[in-house]
Parts: sequence; C-alpha cells; structure tokens
Amino acid sequence: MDKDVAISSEHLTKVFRVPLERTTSLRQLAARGFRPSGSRRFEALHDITFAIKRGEFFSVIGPNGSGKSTLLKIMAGIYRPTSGRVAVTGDLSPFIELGVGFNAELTARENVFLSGAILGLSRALVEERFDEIVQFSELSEFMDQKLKNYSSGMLVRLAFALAIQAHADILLVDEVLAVGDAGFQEKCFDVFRRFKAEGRTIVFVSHDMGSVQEFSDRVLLLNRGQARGIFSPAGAAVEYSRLNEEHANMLLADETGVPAVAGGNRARIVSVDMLDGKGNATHAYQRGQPATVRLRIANPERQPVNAGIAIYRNDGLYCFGTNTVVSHATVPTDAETVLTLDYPCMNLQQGTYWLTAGLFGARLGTVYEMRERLYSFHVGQADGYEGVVYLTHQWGTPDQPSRPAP
Amino acid sequence: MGVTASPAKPAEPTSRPSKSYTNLLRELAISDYKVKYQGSFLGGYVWTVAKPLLLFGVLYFVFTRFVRFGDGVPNYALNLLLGIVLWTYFADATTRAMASIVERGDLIRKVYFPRMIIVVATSLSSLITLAFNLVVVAVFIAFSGVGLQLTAPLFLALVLELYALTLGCSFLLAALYVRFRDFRHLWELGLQLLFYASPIIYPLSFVPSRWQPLFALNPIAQIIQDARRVLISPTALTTMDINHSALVAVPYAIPVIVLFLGYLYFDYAASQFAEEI
Repeated sequence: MDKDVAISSEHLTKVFRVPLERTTSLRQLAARGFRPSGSRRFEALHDITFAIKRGEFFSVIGPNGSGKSTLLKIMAGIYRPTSGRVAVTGDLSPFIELGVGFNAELTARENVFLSGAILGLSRALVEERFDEIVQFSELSEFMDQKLKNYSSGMLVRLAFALAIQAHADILLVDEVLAVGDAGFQEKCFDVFRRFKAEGRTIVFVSHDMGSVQEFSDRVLLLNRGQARGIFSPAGAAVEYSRLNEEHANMLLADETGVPAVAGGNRARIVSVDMLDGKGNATHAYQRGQPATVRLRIANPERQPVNAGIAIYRNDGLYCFGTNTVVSHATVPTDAETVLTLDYPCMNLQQGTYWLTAGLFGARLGTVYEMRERLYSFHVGQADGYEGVVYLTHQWGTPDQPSRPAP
Repeated sequence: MGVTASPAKPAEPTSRPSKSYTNLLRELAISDYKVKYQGSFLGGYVWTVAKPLLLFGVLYFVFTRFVRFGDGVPNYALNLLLGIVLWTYFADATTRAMASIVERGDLIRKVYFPRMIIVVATSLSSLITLAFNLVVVAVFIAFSGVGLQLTAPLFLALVLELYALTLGCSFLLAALYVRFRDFRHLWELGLQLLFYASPIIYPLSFVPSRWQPLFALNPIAQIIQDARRVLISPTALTTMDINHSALVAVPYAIPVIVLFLGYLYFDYAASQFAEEI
C-alpha cells in the first residue's frame, strides 16, 4: 500500500438489516420456529472509494442520514463493512464523539482518568497532563463535582480538553463544534490548526460548511449513502448547496406532484473562494487589505452570462452586491471560465461574512443558478471605528482645514 | 502497523500497544466498583461487607434456631459464611456482567476496543468485593479458634477456578443478553435453582447418598466443599470422596470448558454488538 495514504476505502458498502419485527425475546423466536425474521435492507453506504493522504484534513459532509457517521464508525472499527474494504495505516484515535464513556455518577476528576483510558492514554500520561487538561477546559473549580451537575457546555469543554490529548496520528472527529460558546469554538479551531501544523491526519465529519471550509484540504460529499464526489472546500460548498436544493425540490415535488425541473446544461457555478494579496485562499483578513473573489463557472452551451457576487454579514445583513452587467465587465463565453473580482481595499468592519454567487442570463430575469453562503471570511480590525463599513473621512472645523483620519 | 476492515475481519488497531488496554481495563473496573455503591450513605466498603453478612445472619438464625440444619455439624457457622461469600460472588458477578455490555451500549456504539474488556472489568470489580468479604471470613476463622490450615494456600487455586467459571458464564450471558433480554429472568431463575442445588446452607453430607454423585458434578458444590476442607475442616466431604474415576474430573473441567465456550461465543458475537444494542 502507498505509504502516503493514511486511510483508504475501496468499494465500501454497508448494509444494515432492519428487522421488520425486532426479536428480543425467546418466545418470539420460538413462535417463528427459530427461523430468521424478515428484514428490510437498508444500504447506508454504497460503493465508496477514496484515499486519505497522511497529514490531510479530510472532511466528510452531507445531509442528515447520508451515511457520514456510519462511514466514520467503519473507519474506527466499530462496524464492519458488508463488502469492500477499509485500510487504516497508523495509530488511530478511537474517539468519534466527545464525552464518550463519561459517567455522570463520577466526579470530573475521576472521569478524566476513565475517559483518558478510553482514549488509550496511560494513567501516568493523564496524571502528567492533568493540569493542562483542567486549564484548557477552564473548569478548575468544578473538578470535584459529579458530572451529572455539569451543564452541556461544561461537558463539551471537559470532553474536548481530553480528546485533544489523544496522541494518535489519525483523528476521527464527529460534529464537535455544535456546542460551546464562540470563545471556546475559537480555542477548538486553534487546536485544529495546531494538529494540522503537526502533520496529523484528521477526518472531520460535519454538516456545518463553515468550519469544514476553513480547515479542509479535501471534502467528500455524501448523499443517501453515495459519494457525490471529492471536492475542494470551495467546490464542496457549491455542490452541497446544490444538493440541498435538490432535496428541497424533491420535497416540493412530493407536495405538489409536479417534478422539479432538472438543471440540464445551463451555466453553473463550480466554486467560489477568496484570495488574499498573495494569492492564497484565506478566510481571515484585516480591514483595508486587498481581497480577490475567484469564481469558477462551467458553461457547456457557451451562453452569454451575467455573474454576480454578494457579501452578507453573518447575521444576514446585505453589505454589498455587484454583477458583471452593472460593472460593464464581459464574461468570456468559454465552456469553463474563471472570473476574478478584486477588492483593492476590503473596507468591511470586523465580523464574519459570507459570499453568495449568482449566474443570470444576459437578459434580465433568467436565473441560471443562485447559491447562498458559499464561502465565509472573517475581517479583523485594530482600531475603534464602528458600524458596517469603513468610510474614508476627515474631521475639521469650518475655519480650520481638516486632516484625513488615519 | 496495518489495520484493515473487510467483511471477514473488522478493523482492529493492531498497532495499539496492549498496555493502554490494561489501563482501560483497570479504569473500567475501578469506576464500575465506585458507581455500584455511588450515593450510598454508608459508603461502598460497608455495603460490600454488610450484604453477605446480613444474609449470613438471617440464614444462620433460621438454620440453627428453627430448622436446626446446623446441629451436629462442626463449624456450621463458618461453613455457612464461606459458602455464602463464594456464592454471592458468583451470583452477583454473573448477574452484573450479563447486563454490562448492554449498559455500556453508548461506549460500544462510539469507540472501538476489544469488547471483552467490559465483561472482564465487571468481573474484576466483583472480585474486589470478594476480596473484602474474604477478609471478613479470615477474621471469623481467626476468632473461631479453627486456626490456619496448612492447606489454606490451595484456596487461591479454588478462587481462580471460581473466577474462571464466573468469567465463562459472564461471557456467555453478556453476549446472549444483547440479543435476548429474557436471560435476565432465566438467569435469575437458574441462580435460584443453583443456590438450593449447591451445598451452601447445608453440608454435602446431608444429601441422600443416592443423589450425592449427581450433586458432586456441580462445580459450585465442588468449589465450596473443597474450600471448606482446605480452610476450615479437613474432614469436610468433598466431591472427590463421592465420585470416582473420570467423574471426579467433571466439576474441575466444567469451568475450563465454560470459559472456553463462553470466550468463543462472545468473540463470535462481539462484532455485531454495536449494531444490535
């Protein structure tokens, strides 16, 4: 096997047999004459093939019930595949969910040792890192309380502080960041950055595109047990949005009886990301720095296209929108096009923002594709100005010529 | 360093050092013991010892005052106490181990480790209880004037045999209980039958002689009578005195066979636990 591959999956299929009638008593079994009961086949994963490289941050994303967790459990050795194979090379951390094995009746201190053992740490190692764990979780005053008196936020903090002590070189992480306040989430992100820098392999399962995009090298998109493909983080956001729309359309079709119109060969968005002044795709910017949005378009029929990019703040405030028609820009009618949109000076104030992209026909009113929240970025600022955007300004009096503000 | 999951073989982190599983085993056993007496007013140690002592007190009163089993049996009280302590361990450990896999369902669905660790940890936590109780037995023996027998070290071998039998039953019951919850009731019933079929409240010599060979096949009977002989009275009737030739080996072989079969069945069933619980 390739030495650079940490986890490989070949034609992995997992079928659960859901018994039509669950047999948990001998009487039921005897009544059937000890024949196996009828069961419904449920294919949780169908023919999944991928290879995760050593040191890669690999995300698995998909709607609920798409088979993400089943895949993770097979990698962890909890379920066995029905057919195909999964090979893991290296030391795998056994946790896939936070706080596994916590006992509510024991104190936090006792749970640290129990949970450490479940993570495969020796007692000596847990003792050595105990202070570090307590400090990270910010729970030093509560270590002798029983866990049943902990809030869910406290539980997550303790669990995460423990989980990051796992010294395996492959980590399987399932939906961690759903709980906890913003400050703690930022700490978790710091840990992810550190893990990445240390060259550990991380498999991250989530349905939150934001955190997936920020860290992933590649993203596997699952839908109803099938691999929709492996994408770049920017491409995954578009595909995921498209997938969610299909689901919504299917629901709509179910309700109205009218099948949703398929996409056909219309122009569509391939990916959207944002680059800093050096040309690296980045999620963190300082106000005033240059930023470039990069929009990839597939246009198989080479129709004339009007492309638009909008910036929304995290709370939904529409901050700025532009398109190629209002800007008098021309979009090449190639089958595949990369458009760049330069902001020489990103003057948005501190906050988290999302990019939304749209493709329209040259005539007004035709929408080829419209995708929201495709790429998130944070803007930081070092000064005390308030509001949504920084406006160039200067103070003065009628008599005194004013000086521009810095 | 390779780990492979295929239909034939679940992914098993072979590269993981066994040392970390030893730690897991110990932590699970300790926490299991702690939780068992969690929230009790008197604390774990008191209840550990009080339970068999209380049972002993009641049975002793009944069988020396009303039924008068104990009349003419030398050291009846000591024999009764020892029998109860050994029996309580077997009954308690198997009952708790049976539910152990189902109770730890959360862990099993989310973390991979050899599933046997859970059952072994539960049986070890019960072994802690047995150790405490044996201290009490030792105190009783010391104060009763029986004195230490030269054969006493053999008792350790009997504890080992009892542990093998307990662990074997635990493996079987824990795996069966995942599929059939009936076993909670079945085993309760079985334990009750076994309690009266074993020489705990009565000495083996009380059994009519035509039934004795059958009773002597029971490993529990053998362990208890052997223990009485090596610890208390060198004249106690043991299964070796009753059966001859190959039949003598039966009660000694049963724990080994049960452990072997239990291990095999558990190993076979374990890969499905995560999906079945």
